[in-house]
Order: sequence, then structure tokens, then C-alpha cells
Amino acid sequence: MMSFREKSAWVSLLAYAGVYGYYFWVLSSVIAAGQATTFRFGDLLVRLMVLLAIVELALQLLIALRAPREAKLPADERERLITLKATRIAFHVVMIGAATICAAIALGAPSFYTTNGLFLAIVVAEVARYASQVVYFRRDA
Amino acid sequence: MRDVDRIHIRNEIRRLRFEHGEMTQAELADRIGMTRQTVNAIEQAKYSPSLEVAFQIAQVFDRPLETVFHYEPARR
Repeated sequence: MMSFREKSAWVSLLAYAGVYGYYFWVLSSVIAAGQATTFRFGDLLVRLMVLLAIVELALQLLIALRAPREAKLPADERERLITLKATRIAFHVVMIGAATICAAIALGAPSFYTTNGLFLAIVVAEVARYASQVVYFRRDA
Repeated sequence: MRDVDRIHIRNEIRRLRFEHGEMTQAELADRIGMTRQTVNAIEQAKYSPSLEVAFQIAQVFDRPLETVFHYEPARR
């Protein structure tokens, strides 16, 4: 049976991948249609950020209500170690993304691509963080 | 933590739990403030606990640390 924190990592992983996966799928359609310069991505992004916050809050609350005692306990040392290891992986991902975007800016890429590229790096880093947590939790279970 | 073969600290937790009224992993976890999954990982030698937690576990079973945990040098 999964611990509260493993369930929490699964919830965050699925919420991030689902909500922002939809965002980047919409963006890829916009780019394919040649409307990248006119598309107002900020509106969609803000709506999806609100949606993500609501989905995360609702699901985290649900799993906390199903295991209230465990949810109140602080993370133990193994769980903290897993979080640290996963955060280190996410750091490397976001650094690679940031370096790539710096190169794109230097080469004169339009702001639509650099802004969304940087956001993509952040999202991929977060997904990598939660996915790593899930893998570490599963491997040691 | 990653590779079982790299962890050379074995333990007698399973046997000691049995000898202490068939204590469950959840009960031991409650006593030392860990999750049941972490106790399971320690018991299976998939995770080496900190010295503090190792002492706490030994204290629960009222045994010296070295009778609960053993260091096994790597085979070459």
C-alpha cells in the first residue's frame, strides 16, 4: 500500500502532466497553424494555472482525508531524502532548459518561443521531480 | 538506497518484531515516528537508517545496537 507522500507525488505528477500537457498540446497546434505571433497564450496559461491549483488542492485534500493521521505527520528521513534526490534531478533539468533558452535568446528567437520554452523547462523539471519521487518510493517499497 | 547489493548493513528487525508479540511494521513505525513503508525499507535492507533512528529501533526492542544491525563488508 502506498504511503500518503507517495500518493501525493502521484497526484502532483498526474495534475502537472495533464494540465500543462494540454497547454503545450494547444501551443503545438497554434505553431502548426502558423499563429504563434498572434496567439494570446497568457489568457490560457492563467486559466490553466487556476485549474491546476484547484485540481491539486481537491485531490491532495481527498488523499489527506483518507489518511488524516499520516497526513499530519512530518516527512520521515527516508521521505526527505527522496524529496532531496528528486529535487536535484529537477534542478539539472531546469538548468539545461535555462541554458537552452539563453542560447535561443542570443540567437534572436521570438519571445513567444523563449517565454514558452522557459515555461516548458519549468514544467518538465516539475514533472521530472514528481516522477523521480514516484520511482524512488516504488523502488524502495 | 538504490541498490540492495551496495548496502552492507543487515538487521534482525523482522525476527525481533516476531519476538516482541508479533509487533507489526506499523506499530514499530508509530514507536519511532516513521512511516510503515520506511520501516519496511529498513527491514528489507533497501534503506540504511540514520544512527539516531537505528538507536531508536534498538531501544524499542531493548537491545544493544549491534544485535539489531550488522555491518557486512562487501564481497570481492
